[in-house]
Amino acid sequence: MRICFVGNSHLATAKFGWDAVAPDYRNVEVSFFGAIATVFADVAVEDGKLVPKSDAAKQSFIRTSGGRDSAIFTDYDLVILLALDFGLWNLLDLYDKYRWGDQNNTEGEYELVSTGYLHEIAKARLTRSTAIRFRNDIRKSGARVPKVWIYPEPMPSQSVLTEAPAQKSDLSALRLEALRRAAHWHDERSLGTAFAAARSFLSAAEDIVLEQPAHTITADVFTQREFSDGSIGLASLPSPRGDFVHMNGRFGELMVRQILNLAAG
Amino acid sequence: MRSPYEGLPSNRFWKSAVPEQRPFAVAGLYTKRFEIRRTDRIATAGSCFAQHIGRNLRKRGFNVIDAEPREPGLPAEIAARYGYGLFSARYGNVYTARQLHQLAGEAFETFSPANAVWQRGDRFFDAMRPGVEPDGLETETLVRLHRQRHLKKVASVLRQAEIFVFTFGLTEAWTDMRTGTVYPTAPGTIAGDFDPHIHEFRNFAVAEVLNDFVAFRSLIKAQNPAVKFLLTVSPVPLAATASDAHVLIANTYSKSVLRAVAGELYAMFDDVDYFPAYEIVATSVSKGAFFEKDMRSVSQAGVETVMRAFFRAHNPGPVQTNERPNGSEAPDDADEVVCEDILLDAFAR
Repeated sequence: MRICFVGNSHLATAKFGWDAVAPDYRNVEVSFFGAIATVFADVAVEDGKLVPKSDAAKQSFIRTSGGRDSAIFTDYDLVILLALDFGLWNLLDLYDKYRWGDQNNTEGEYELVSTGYLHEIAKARLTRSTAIRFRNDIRKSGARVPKVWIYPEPMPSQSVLTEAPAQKSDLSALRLEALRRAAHWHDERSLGTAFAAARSFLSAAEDIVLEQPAHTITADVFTQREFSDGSIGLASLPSPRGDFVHMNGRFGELMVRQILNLAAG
Repeated sequence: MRSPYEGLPSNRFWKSAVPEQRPFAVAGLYTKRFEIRRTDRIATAGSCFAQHIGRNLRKRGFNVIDAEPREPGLPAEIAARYGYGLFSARYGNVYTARQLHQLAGEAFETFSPANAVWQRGDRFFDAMRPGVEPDGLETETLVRLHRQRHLKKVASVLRQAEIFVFTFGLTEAWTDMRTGTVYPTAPGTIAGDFDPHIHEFRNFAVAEVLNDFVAFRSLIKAQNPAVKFLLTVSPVPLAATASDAHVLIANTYSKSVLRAVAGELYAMFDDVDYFPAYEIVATSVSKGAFFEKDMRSVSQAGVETVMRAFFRAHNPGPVQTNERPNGSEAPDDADEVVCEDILLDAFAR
């Protein structure tokens, strides 16, 4: 079986996971094509190929794949689109703008909306994710289309509740702060429900959207600390202290085994 | 011998003004009473036909107020199911002048509706706009909270509007007979339960519709003296009547009342203009060409003809990108209008 992982910075976790489990799966070949999220803006799926549109994307693909600057999807039995804006992470800032359902936090400025409407927003957000866009483009691209599965961004680490985050970009900081505030008001489960509704909606029968293993999650929206301590990303190795977005090799091993076992049927 | 008809312009004579005209461009039908500039803050409300007017104004770059905008990136047709993007706030369709008066009264805290929360199963609905949440809300308290916030937005719309566009839709309504509260839909259609001991059918007369709009005008003028009104009458016939008349008879009564009131208001107030969308679509000049096969839905050609006539009169020239609010692109509004009264078709035998 030939498997192609395409992902953003979370791809490093998968690579570490694969390195750890590869001896147990001798009949599986795995390729990795990754770039940090900002570089993925310059990547397209064209005619069944993953095509870099910038030198940064090209170099990143060469680095992560071991020499190739593009992926030809028909060479694979299974394509895993890892993270690529698909996850709870992409919804967290909604808590800054909206309140819905029976949430407790009534402080500050916000729009009060219905749960149904908020879930529609979540679906629309994830529908526009790079993962869903690539999935659709791959499916359109030719006669022999491999299976395409989406593996969502891991839930942020529960350490975000007790430690200062390292993520300094405006959006990342905003999202982590929104999650901390939601947890402070015990509203975090409603964010998890919104993500679950969107994930369920976007899971087609033939193209699976996988779920992060339940035993790695706490309070619906956090990855347990043991799977995030010593996290790894594409940008730096290891990730800086206070990286609550990426997970560690142990998580990667679980993730890869989950995928391979499901693929083996 | 002299006749008072001598020397009148050709559009005063049926032969030259109607049968000799093309329905797609009837000359001299409308003379605007006041300018509508692209920068004027325009509020829209009314029956579902009013959604066409708001949408086309936005497409032409007019400054239509949207006090409760949809989330960017959410498809317009999905947002429309939740009442976003249809009017200047999420009040849903306002079919009657009484409903409009009540809405302004609630916004300015001079009116409080009776039995304002309806239930369907374990979900709760705002009885004053039951169509804007297709699945209702989790609790009655939430419905009241949502309404409080909505009414603040409505008040802001009414206070800031320079032009208020209203489309009269119906004279028939269902009321709470104990208080007179009028609902936009019959209890039991979307949510709630019809109780013949509580709910009463009303078919408003000219004087009532007139008084309701005059009262509404007074309310809004007290807060916003400069506002002007552009009135239309919906050409869409009644989906059903609860009167004891044939629906065709009931429709003629309803539209006649509404058209008469619009005419009265035009005569009474210099700040009221009337735009003849009803005449363009529903009178003999169109030979029925602007209705779909159901003889009720207005066709795209009908809508386009109405709006062409409107923009011939109110034409501030090609839109410049910097004239759009925040320099935004033309909006991708939902194509379909949202009408609760179409639900009544489900009850047709």
